Amino acid sequence: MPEPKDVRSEAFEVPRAPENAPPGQEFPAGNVPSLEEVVRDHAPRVYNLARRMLNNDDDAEDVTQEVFLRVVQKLPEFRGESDITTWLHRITVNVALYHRQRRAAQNENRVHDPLETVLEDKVPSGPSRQWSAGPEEVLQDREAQALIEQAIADLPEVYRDVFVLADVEGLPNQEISDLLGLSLSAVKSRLHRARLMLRNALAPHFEEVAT
Amino acid sequence: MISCLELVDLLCDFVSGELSADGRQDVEDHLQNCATCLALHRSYSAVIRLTRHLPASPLPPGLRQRLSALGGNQPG
Repeated sequence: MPEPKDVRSEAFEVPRAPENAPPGQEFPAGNVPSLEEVVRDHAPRVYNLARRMLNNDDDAEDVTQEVFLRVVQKLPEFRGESDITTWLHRITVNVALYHRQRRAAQNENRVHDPLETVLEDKVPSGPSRQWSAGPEEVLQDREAQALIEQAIADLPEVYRDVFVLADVEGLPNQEISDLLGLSLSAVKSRLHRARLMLRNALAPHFEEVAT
Repeated sequence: MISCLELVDLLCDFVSGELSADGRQDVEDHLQNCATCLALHRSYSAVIRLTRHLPASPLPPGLRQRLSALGGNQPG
């Protein structure tokens, strides 16, 4: 099997000061973040994005370390905090996709029908939560949290990537289209299918309240 | 009136406010007359609300320190 293409280097452009800003005023003084600040402010998000994309805590840890190695290398080039979230998203997605490619090349690929997961019989514990309840109320219940995380983890990768970036991370569709190299219509179509799959997976555990 | 299948196709654009005024009206008319699709709309929207608020898992023990220490391993 051929080596997977190393996609990681393609998106490591560091955000730079605007070209038309007056010299010396590209970014407010003192805005260059320290490594500790970047770790404190962004590591949980990087780790959680990788974890949800890869469905594996150890792989997510590896990806997070790889991402922050890149941060260390590029940190002196940072001129500001403004675009660091976007930049980190791009690196994390690329490193996670590369990690997955490498894993796929190392392991036998299991043929997986996307509908297999959707149609799989689940043994519901019976509906005990309401769709109409507020997220804070539902997510106080650890079991509900675990059900939702598991339903996301069960999504086929092509749908899960888009869903995690759109609905968990809250990225705009256009940004996801750029990150994953997909057309905007493909992003929207995958997102829609992912939501329907997730809704079907969770339906046995939630109930509609008649109004 | 649009069919239930057509409604499913329009749901994504409906919840993100990307439908034209006519398209939006079509969906709203259908939802007023179809309890099944109304339930689908509510649960579909709930999925979006719930996942947007999922709490982040804490970093594994020691990872924060290892990440912060990466700076000390770089030459120069």
